[in-house]
Amino acid sequence: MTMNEQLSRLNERVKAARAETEARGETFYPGPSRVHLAAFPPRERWDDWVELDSRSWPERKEKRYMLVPTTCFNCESACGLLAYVDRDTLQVRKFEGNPEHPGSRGRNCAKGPATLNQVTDPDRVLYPLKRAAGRGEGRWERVGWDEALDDIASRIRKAITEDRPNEVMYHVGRPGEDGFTERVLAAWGVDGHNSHTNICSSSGRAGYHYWMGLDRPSPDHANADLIFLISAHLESGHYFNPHAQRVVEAKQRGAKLVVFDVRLSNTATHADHWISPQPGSEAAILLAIARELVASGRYNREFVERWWNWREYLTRERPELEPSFASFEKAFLELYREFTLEFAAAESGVPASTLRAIADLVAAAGTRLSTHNWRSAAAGNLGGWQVSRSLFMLNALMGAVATEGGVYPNAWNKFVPRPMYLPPHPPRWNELTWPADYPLTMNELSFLLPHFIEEGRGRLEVYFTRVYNPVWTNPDGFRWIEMLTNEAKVGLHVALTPTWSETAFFADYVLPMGHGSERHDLHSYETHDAQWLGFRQPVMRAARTRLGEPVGDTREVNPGEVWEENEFWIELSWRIDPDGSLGIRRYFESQKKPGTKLSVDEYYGWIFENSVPGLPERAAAEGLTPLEWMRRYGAFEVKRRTGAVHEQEVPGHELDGTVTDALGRVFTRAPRPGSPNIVPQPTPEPDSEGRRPVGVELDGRVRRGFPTPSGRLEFYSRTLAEWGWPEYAVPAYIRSHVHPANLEEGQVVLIPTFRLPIQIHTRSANAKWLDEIAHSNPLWINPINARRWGGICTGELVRVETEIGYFVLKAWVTEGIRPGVVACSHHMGRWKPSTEGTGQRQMMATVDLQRAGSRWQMKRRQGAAPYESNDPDTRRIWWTDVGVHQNLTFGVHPDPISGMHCWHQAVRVRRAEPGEAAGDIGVHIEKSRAIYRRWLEMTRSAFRFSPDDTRRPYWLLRPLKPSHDAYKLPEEARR
Amino acid sequence: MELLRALAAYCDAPSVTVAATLELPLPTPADQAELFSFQLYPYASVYVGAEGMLGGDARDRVGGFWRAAGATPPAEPDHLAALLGLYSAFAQEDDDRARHLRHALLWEHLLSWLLIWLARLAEIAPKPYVAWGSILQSALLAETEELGPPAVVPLHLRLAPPVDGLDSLFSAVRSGVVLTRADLAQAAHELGLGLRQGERRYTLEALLAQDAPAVLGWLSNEASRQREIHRLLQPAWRPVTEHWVSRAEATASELSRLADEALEVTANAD
Repeated sequence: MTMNEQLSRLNERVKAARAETEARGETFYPGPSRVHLAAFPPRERWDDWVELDSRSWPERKEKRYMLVPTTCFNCESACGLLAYVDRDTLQVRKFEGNPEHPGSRGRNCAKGPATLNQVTDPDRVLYPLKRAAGRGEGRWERVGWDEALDDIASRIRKAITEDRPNEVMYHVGRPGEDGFTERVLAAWGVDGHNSHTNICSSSGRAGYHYWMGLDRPSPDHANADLIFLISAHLESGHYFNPHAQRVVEAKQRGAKLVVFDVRLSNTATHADHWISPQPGSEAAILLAIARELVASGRYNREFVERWWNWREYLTRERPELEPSFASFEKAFLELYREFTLEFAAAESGVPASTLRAIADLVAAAGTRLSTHNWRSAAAGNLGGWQVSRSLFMLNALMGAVATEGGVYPNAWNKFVPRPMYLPPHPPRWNELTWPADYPLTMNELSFLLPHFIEEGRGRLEVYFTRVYNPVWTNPDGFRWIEMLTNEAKVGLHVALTPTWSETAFFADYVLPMGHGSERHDLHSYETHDAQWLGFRQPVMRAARTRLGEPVGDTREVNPGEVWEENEFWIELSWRIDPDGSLGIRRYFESQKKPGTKLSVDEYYGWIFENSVPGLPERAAAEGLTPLEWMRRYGAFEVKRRTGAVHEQEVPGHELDGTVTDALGRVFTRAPRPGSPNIVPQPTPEPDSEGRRPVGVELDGRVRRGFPTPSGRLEFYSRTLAEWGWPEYAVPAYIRSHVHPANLEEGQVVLIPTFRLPIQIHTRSANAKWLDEIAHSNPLWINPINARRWGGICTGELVRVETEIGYFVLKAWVTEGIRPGVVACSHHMGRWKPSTEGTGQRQMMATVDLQRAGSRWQMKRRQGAAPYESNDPDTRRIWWTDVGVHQNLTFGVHPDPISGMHCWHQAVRVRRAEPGEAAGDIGVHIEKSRAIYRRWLEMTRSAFRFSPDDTRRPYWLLRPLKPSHDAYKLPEEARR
Repeated sequence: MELLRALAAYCDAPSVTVAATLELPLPTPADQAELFSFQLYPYASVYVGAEGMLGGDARDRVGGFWRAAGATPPAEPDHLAALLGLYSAFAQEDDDRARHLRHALLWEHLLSWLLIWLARLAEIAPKPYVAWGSILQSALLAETEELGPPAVVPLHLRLAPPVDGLDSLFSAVRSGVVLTRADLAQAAHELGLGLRQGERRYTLEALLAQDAPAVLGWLSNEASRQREIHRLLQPAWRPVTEHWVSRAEATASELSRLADEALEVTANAD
């Protein structure tokens, strides 16, 4: 046999062996390997994976693991995790990435593996607790789940049957399963959903919502030529890990990265252009770039002409002009004539030549322009929603919308499977969360709740804080303490939490909920142009089931009496309506065994069998049920590359009795076809004869278009114009509350929003690995300011004075921050009252809280310190400084349109006074009240401005949307 | 060619399945560590970089090739396994572009260094890897014969600066010589010198401090020996072997001159 013949035989032999192995669903090239991206245990070995035990080194001792997938529960990204369950002890030994997860692709940030710390945290809440003294006095007794559930259920039942449903409120921090709790509340008939979103992303959302009908962007970073971020994506952006890995891929491919951030973030260090503008000037820059693109003819004219609602703009705002696209171009340049690059340079402090270079990059990127703004400037400034709106205008100008390397509407890259039951919209409107003062707010006015309660706008009978810590996370935290300790205003406070928090200290019940490996949820996020479904599951439940030991109630396998949250809500709903007479119980009943409780296995089994296209077939190919398949692999890609949905032609069966209005919007009498994907979509109004909008007429065809009233990308928002804000009907620049013109002599801007990649709000403080890496939040000060303020040095104590109080912390003098701006990171400054016998000890200082008249004071008694526990590492805690809780000293700043809390603060900085210590805080509660009223005055209430006597435009998104009738303003309040 | 991917897997993360399919014994972890972590690092940049170290401009050039081919470079784009994996991916596609890329990858980033690396591997590797290297060399020859010669000498070789001082001996592309730890141990053994274990430069310095003329002479002979090995490589590979032969020859000559000088200095000192 010649050498070539031998090679050919060997080659055929390898090909055959590989084909045979892969036909069995196994991996031929096992990892870790560079050859085939197989740096993970091959999935066919997940039942019995062998590794050498590192602790036995140098002895080569084998450890056998069962690998069970779940989903991280730290940030919102929902990255896949793989739990390594020791087959001998059935304990989780570590968490690594799940290579089967389409979003995270086996990669995690530090927080994913640190789930192990959270599970084994010696200070975690393991049993239901009930307060044994006054609320907030720090004394607790262990109670049974039955006692707690009966008490809570009877109060909720009473509120519902006494026609006080709005006194039941559920306030969520970290989201759980898409739509699950909304459906629970809908089943109860309660408009009681409250979220953290108005202190998080409402302004970012608003900018996108007004453009494309959907409130989140899905940028295709991996395929972009230019990535334009107004965020710190590579360390803490909303999709930190899934997006960061794709941004890095694009960079490796040669893509350019532009980052706007006043602070030298980790993301900025990777940028080709790091732009550090005057805070609040971002929209001015973006509008100037947009104008430059149009003025120089370097934009996608065909796309704009086809997809912008420019005709509507001309018709309503410039009727004197000929209705042609040329007229619109002229009108556009007139509209933004003020926004030259030189004007933007003057506003931002960034040279015009730099801005021109960025405009050139945008022009060169064409349809491969991925942009993103979520919090950052949008969350910091009055009018911040115009930042994301102006940023998306660049995509809309370049035609980089739903293109490879462009930005997609999120709903096109997200899959929310239809569940077994969909309760109807609740027939109520809750003014405590959706007040008429803010008809256009993107989300609940959650952070104003204490002010509304104080004003007598309502009370709460049962208030759930669920994996949420408003006392710490929200601005004006002392007002939250006052609200929560007022038992007349808040009848029962139930904290559903996996760990102690500042809010839980002021609860009546603290009920232990599971961490990422102890609970169920379904998630789908817009990480790239695809639709995927991730399955969070209690790892021990899945492991025992795999071993042939079915589990009924997840408490059987979770630590202590930690509960799986869906089971909790099902059980609670049954106790609210034990005999089914309220019509609630039927949404929580088994279909297989009517009259019995729905189990989580039946609930998810039904979804996976009926609502996830392709999953049953994929599972059957491996001889598994869909539920078994998801429990085994943890994630499923439903669809890859959704493409330009707006360009799709509407099929004929949806075009029945259609009419087309003067602007090309097409309405149909055909009912909306059912879909297994119930991702939330806006609901543009039907025409006067009840036909639903179905598309837009373009090129003689009916195309799907965008879910906006016009069906097009809305440069011009009729909604804003009609609801009292005509001046902002188009993308505009709103001068921030921290614009230099609004600062007093000696004031600078404080950026309090930036985050560190290692921690996540207040829920990761029980992760010792993360705490050791990051536990403090010094004040970033530019050397120019440090000199101006008397030569402040790194490590010195400084006092930051806000509108309502002050806080004391260490200084960090660095060139990484713009002069005239200081910054202090989120996540730090955790505390527990000295009266509290419990609490988390790795990252919480012990403090004294005092109220004297209208003044609150917090004095630090002790920082972190070593302590004895069942974890020897707690004796090795070497840090004492846990930072400062700056949010306590911020008044509320609700944007009058988006409802977002505008986080940036005008502050004065000086050396701390003798006797002051790091972490000290003082707040004047009367000043807080005045700030609230001042910002409230900026609103334009639905009572005065609603064009149709409703509380809010019906088409806008709203979590837990009430029935159409509930939107009507009370008769007596109408104009 | 799937065979090349399997050969890549064998050198990177050998498994029972892959080894059995290739009809090769499974190497022990110790063998793998000794060969690839201590003697012959399986990275192109070590052999075609001007510094003779991992990374640097040479790795960037390899990474640039991945990008130009439309692929995302992995963390170590110049690792042999990654390059063979990429090559196999090109080989699976049946179009002109893929063939062009395959040809470029073969000459620019594989043959430019792999031939002399395999030659040394045949001398010092444990048995399983000797057999593996033999199959790989045959497969490379088959690919060379199918794809034909390059239009120009690979860029790595064209950019190679001349030898400049003893430090550059460890840059194979400059010296034409692959010097391993084992070679230096052999030199110490043959010359009766003490061997100080450490990084290669450190070991060589220690040897030179003991008997510079003898060590330089030994190195000159070694360069000549390797030049002869290069000469015996297949004629189809001449576009790259000419570089190695000429560089090894120049190095042998320079080392011989340095040895004479050192001897003279030593004699004068006596």
